[in-house]
Amino acid sequence: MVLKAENITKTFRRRHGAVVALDKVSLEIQEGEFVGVVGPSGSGKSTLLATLGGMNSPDEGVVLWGNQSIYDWNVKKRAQWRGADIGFVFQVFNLIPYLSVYENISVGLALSDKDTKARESIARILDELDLAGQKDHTPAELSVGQQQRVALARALIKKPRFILADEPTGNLDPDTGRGVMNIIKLQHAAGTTVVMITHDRAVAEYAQRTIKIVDGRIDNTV
Amino acid sequence: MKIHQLVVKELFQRSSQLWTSVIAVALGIAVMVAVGSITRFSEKAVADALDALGTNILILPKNASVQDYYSADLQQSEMPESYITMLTDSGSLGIDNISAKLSVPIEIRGKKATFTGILPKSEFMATTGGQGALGVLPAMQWTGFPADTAVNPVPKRIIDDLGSDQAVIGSEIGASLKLKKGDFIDVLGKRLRIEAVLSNTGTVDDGRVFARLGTVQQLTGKNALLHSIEITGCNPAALPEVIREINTLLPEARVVTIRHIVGTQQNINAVMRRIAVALLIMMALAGGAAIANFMFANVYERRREIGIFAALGAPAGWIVRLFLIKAAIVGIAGGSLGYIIGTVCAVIFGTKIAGVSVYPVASFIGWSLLIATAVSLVASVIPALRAAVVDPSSIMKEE
Repeated sequence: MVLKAENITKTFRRRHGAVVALDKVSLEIQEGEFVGVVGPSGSGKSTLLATLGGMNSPDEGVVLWGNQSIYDWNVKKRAQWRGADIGFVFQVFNLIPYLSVYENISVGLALSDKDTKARESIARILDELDLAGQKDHTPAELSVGQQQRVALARALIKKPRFILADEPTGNLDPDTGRGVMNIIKLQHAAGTTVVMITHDRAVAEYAQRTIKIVDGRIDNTV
Repeated sequence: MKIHQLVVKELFQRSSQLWTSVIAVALGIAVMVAVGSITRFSEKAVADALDALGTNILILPKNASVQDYYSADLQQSEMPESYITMLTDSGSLGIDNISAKLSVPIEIRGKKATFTGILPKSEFMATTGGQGALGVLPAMQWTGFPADTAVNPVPKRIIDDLGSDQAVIGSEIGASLKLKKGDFIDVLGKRLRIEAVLSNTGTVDDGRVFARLGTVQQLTGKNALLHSIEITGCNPAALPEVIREINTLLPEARVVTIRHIVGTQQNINAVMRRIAVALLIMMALAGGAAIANFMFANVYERRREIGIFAALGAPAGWIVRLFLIKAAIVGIAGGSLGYIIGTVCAVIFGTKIAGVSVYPVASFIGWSLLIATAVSLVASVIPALRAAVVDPSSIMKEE
């Protein structure tokens, strides 16, 4: 399956005028790839990721999943697609604060419509990501590295075809960041496609290819 | 993880908001249940009175309030005792039973009660010079127990022969002061021996101390005065003629039928019902506004969380359901709590407010839950729909 953006443009209306976040961006991500997206702050990287993930419809252009335009689908179908095929990992983890580690992961699985053998799957991923001892802890009781591992577990538990990661190591120290990147690398090796935004050159080197965004456009000079 | 488990977790995470909403709903429901319960039992008491009394006539002082009489016959003005003689002397009125009463508020050992003078047969005979065969039992019929039946808790003999230093007390007085037959009570400086404790009637008579009319007149300084005369057992066909004749005979008195009194109470009950409906509307508006406010605030507080659910694949319908399940829980909790509070208040205050014993009304449970849940759900629809359109991409930014 290919995720493809064709001439997508996104403009945000602000008090002081319009800001063009994406300007006729086209790119293609083949299944199995590990793509890094780099660029300065405010260049449009996160907007690109949200648009590719079906969370932010472009003003112009199309995002294709195979040969279907995901923004031609209704909201429900797009949500189901996100739930089933896309795993998001965020810089700020975005865990539900009042749920335990186990429940946070369980919610990810429940919303994927793949709620079969949930208990075994969650137990396995908790072991794999070294979180079994913290399964009843709330996010506030975890270190930042553990929180990001929980967020990864939540994304991976449903076995998505694509992982869209927005600065997954942005809030982590280098050692912890390396641990998280190793998990993502293993997941990619297992066949999952990864699209990852990063500021960090060292992190970007995990990717097979890198796309640079500057002022909402792809910089082909990379 | 199931959606209802998530809702319950979140509700207890923000428990102060939850309880505020539940209490807002519960108070509205409680007022409705309390008013509804009291009204229902008051209507029942009126219906029972109507059934028991048929076409009785009540004679009151001209300016006495029928409603005052109905609640405890404690009106301010009196009429002369000689009215009784005038009525019995008339002969042609078709009057079978006449009962006179004089009532004053008293306190016995700190307990408020009504001290009611009645005419026992022996005194009635003396008052009327032996004319008129029956003069006492109608009063006791009016107070709720039949005159001469096997289940009569007070033997007819006692009523017939109630002495000047004897009393019969209502069940509530007996129970609260732990009084029994043979005990003594001090009323307005006179020691009275209790000849009987009446069984519970669910009326104001439960709070009465009955004594001989002459005794009450003497102790209250209202010599040869009365508050009311009841005439029972009239032939319904002859009733209009009887009323006309009494009006002619006693132009200074007010003559009403029991149906008139019952009608007054029924009007009051109708007003109570309208108040209950008005309260229902106000509860729906106030409770609904409180819940809507809570839900809007909840959606605003949780917009990041909602965005996370949406990013994880939650469809709009799932997010709407998340809020409506929460609203239903608030409604069910508020309705249940409201029913309990309202029923307890009705049972406790029913006797004091309406003079009737009130018991829990089971059918109000269903109505309480239905109304509270409906109000809660309706008030939450717009906030839930607003939650469903939260932009999931907003979670990409740090707060």
